[in-house]
Amino acid sequence: MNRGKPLLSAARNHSRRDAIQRRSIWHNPASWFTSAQSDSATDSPLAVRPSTTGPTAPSFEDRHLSRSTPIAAAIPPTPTPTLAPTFNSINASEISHFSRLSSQWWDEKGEFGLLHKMNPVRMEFVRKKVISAREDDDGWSFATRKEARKDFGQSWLEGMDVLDVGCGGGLLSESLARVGGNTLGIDASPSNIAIASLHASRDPFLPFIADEGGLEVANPPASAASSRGALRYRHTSAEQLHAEGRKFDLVCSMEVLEHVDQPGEFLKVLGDMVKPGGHLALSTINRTPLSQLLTITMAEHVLRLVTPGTHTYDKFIKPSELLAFVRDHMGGESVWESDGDGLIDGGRDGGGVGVGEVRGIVYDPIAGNWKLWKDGAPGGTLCNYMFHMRKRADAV
Amino acid sequence: MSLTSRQIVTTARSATKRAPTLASIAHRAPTSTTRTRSCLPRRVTSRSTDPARSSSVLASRYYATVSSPSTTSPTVDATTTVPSISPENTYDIVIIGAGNAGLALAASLLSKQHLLSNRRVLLVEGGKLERVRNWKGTEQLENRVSSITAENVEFLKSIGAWQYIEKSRSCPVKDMLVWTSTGSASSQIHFPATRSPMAYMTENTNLQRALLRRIAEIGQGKVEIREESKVQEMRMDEGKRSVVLKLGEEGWVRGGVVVGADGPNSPVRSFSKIESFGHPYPTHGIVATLNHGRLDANHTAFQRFLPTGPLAFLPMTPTSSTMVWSTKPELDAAYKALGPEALPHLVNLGLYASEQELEKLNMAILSQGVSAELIEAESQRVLSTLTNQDVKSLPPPVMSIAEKSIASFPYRLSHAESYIGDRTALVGDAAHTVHPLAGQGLNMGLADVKALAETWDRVAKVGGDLGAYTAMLPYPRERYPANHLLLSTTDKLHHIFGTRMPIVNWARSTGMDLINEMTPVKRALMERVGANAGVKEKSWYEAGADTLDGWKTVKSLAGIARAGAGQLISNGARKLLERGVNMGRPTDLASRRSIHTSATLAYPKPKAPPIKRQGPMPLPRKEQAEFDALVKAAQGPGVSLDDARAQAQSKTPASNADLIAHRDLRRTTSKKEFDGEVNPKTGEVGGPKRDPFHAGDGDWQYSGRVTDF
Ligand SMILES: Cc1cc2nc3c(=O)[nH]c(=O)nc-3n(C[C@H](O)[C@H](O)[C@H](O)COP(=O)(O)OP(=O)(O)OC[C@H]3O[C@@H](n4cnc5c(N)ncnc54)[C@H](O)[C@@H]3O)c2cc1C
Repeated sequence: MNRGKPLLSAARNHSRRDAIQRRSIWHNPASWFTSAQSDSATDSPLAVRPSTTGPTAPSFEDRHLSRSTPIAAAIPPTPTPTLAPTFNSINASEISHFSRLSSQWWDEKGEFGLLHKMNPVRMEFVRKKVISAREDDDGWSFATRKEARKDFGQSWLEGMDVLDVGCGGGLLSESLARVGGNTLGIDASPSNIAIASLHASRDPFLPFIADEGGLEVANPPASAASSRGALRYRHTSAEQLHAEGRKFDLVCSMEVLEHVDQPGEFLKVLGDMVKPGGHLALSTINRTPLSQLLTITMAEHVLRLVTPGTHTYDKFIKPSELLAFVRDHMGGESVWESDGDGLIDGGRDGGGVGVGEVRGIVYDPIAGNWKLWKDGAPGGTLCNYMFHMRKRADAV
Repeated sequence: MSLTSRQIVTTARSATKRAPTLASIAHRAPTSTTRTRSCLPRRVTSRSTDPARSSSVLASRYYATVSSPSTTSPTVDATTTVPSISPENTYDIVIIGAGNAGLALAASLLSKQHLLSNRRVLLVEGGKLERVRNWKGTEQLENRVSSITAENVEFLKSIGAWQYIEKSRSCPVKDMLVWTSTGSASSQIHFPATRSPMAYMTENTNLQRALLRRIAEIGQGKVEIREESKVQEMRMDEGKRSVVLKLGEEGWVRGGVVVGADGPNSPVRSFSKIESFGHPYPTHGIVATLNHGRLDANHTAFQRFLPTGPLAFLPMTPTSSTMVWSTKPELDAAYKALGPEALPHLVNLGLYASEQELEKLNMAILSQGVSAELIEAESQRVLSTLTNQDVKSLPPPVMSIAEKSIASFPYRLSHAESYIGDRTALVGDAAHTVHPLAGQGLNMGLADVKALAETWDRVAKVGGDLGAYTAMLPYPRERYPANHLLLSTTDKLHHIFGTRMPIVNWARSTGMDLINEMTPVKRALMERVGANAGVKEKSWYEAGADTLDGWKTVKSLAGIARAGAGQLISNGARKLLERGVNMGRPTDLASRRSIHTSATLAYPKPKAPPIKRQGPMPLPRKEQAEFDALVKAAQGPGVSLDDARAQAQSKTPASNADLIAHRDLRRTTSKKEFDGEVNPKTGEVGGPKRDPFHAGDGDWQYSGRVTDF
């Protein structure tokens, strides 16, 4: 087993076999993106400076921080990396290079097929949460109970600022923009940003705006859509944005948590960027024998769907640990709404320990698609799961 | 055609990558439109009705491009540059073809509350829609009529289109009679009246106009229609995020996803490089509007299975019905050559004469030609022999045929190997064409459209890209197996009921009686064809009790259910039907199975009351004896298939039938493994003389059948 095998050594693995839900492109950008200046500095995804104050709850942080990999530990706490200022001026040959990578990323029948299939399920979870919050905000009373509820239809993120941390090729970001979100996708890998920008720029219906350091593509096709939110990409880290004081109505980070070396710090940064009344939505992998079997033994070693070493079992986080961390270190009920009640799959098995809601996502190999685990049914979180919580409107 | 579908695909693949497969197949078969026309004899004379012309006119609406694929396959020419396309000419969805499928798709997209709130649809039609738009519903009946199943009527209501149907021109079908009659024996399946009509016979123009009106009503600014605008060229845009299309002389448009609702020779399908497999039938359909005496209620659909193909008599008004007579191409030509005066009498003969009489007549018509007078006389004679029972149960005699309503066209079976391509999707006849004997072509298209609109609605809710492969995948997942089942079932019915070799003949009539006896099976078949929209919430035996005679039926149905109607079909009828198929032509195994599956898959779990009788309902005594003999012959020890064949043939004289056993058929050996009563291995007394689970060929098998654990 790969216990303790450094994540970054996996990142040096130049295999292109990428992932079910992995962003290994993100882990070895240097080999693909030749002209990115500060690539090596950003190799570690979302490198977080160790907190100076230090977390007080040992269990969660201990497991994930103190046992962090030798290489990662050897990297000195760096200030936020300076990003390549010349990023806008990528030349034509690089564009063809990226379009090749992009077509790989976006080849639905290829390596990322499972990820493409998972995306709608993630979006569905976020949609349910956002719409139910918007409906709550509309208010309910006996007087108005018979009036038609506002239907948010297919623009349910309209008017909302949305951040997608670790956007990869832009799968989730594009969806967020299509439902009206004023979306910013960020990634620590410049090649991912290039892939995502190139892809978005070629879609005549995406409200893509190439102004935040995304890839400038000459002569983008005319866009027919005007009212569909906005989509921007930027090569940066969550910490950098945080330092800039940016705030969002919805912060998403899918399949990133299990790759960062300091998940606690990372979560705090994400939580901090959520506006009062806004949402935080995550997806990650549980630490169970099943998840070890599926994501490491099967996916990496047997089926070789994923570069071996992509996942480190010890870095997986249990839903209960996540909930406990939020309760103890992210302000708990004083900052986050308690209506999710720290539930796991709508039930109380191991849940009820804080705020937010955990929902399993399971792959149905017969139907060939992912499904959001039924509300209230146990057992769905044994491998992949989603997490959502909403910040209180009165939170500071 | 003895090629299997696989072979066809490969042949076509290697031959030409882009040309429509079917077109190239059709060239080899004597069914292309040009042939239809040229094989018409010279002596076609009539005042206003020129069957030759109307034939090719209609044929060209259906199969216009069969003989000239090069004119419709959009050229992929990389040398000309695509001019930049303005946002006004950029559409989220471009639908090619404003036939029923294309129009229904536009209307159902509009009926989704939010789907088009920030999306635009372009509907492109090569022809003119003026005639459809200005249709009043008072004109002469058209000959292009389809039965719209109750299920699809519900769908059309849900998208707000049914309200615009001219009701006086849409005839509810309340019951259905399917029969064969060889002179000596006849058998029939009666689908009795259900509470609500099972289908509505509706002129295609009526439905098209209704859909157009619905689109005009709510489609402002969302759905744009460009008519007389043919797609000439399609290209995938750089980055594969949209498709650019050249429309007529108007120039280029861009579509995020392109839907081929463009009929059987779909240019979108060739652009998507989606192969289509199938085969032409050596069959033409003659359509015409039949006038008959006024009926109190004309709500019964009739279909007689003749050896040459089914003759359907479908209700339209109290005094008229529409006909689809599927027959051999040479007969099609010869019948029409008799002239419009003779045809009504010929139709009467087709309805009432025995198969032997008809066969003689056909021979005469083909060899020396028969005068219209003779046909009339013959028809009078046959009509005079009808019994009261016949008059009550069979369609009314035809008095005349409406002017200009006679037309004919070739049939073919085809199924695209996929319904979605790179930023393209296929619906309706672009995806599949079917033998019209089950009246399902249009209905399958409507079901496609419904599924695709629902899929896109879900995709849009979660911000998906409508043209992405994964996003569209639920559409074929839902429709492909269902369509395939229907295609192969109708294909098999065509072959079974068209075969007249003695044993098949027997199986056919027995098979039909079997089906008729077993209402659950019938219901399963009906549900397959969507006729029972209103009674879904009921269990099959409740509904069966409604439609048949009460408790007695419930009990016998329960008996069948408990005894395993499924088993009965699979062991008895299926085998018989399969033999029928085997004799007709080779079919692939998958399609051969579907008769079995169509009956058992849709067969609801019986919640039946306790039963007394063990075992299946017996057939009428004579048939049951024959059935038993056959089953015994085929399965019993010591009797070879040759014996079975001889036995079967001795019961059906004048036979040159060749019984070909299905390869799944259990083969028996009489080899004993031991003598005496006691099995030396197991000690069992009086057991089988041979280990039934004998490992042979490295498999665990039972009498040649591999047991599947
Ligand atoms: C005799 C007969 C009886 C039938 N009976 C029944 C029945 O009882 N019940 C039933 O359900 N079905 C029946 N059908 C089948 C039914 O008629 C068809 O399945 C149905 O009409 C197909 O509709 P469609 O929209 O898919 O294709 P079509 O009606 O063929 O429409 C295709 C459209 O695309 C347009 N087009 C093609 N190429 C281009 C291009 N390059 N650019 C622009 N436009 C283009 C054409 O002009 C046409 O309008 C019957 C068929 C026949 C032949």
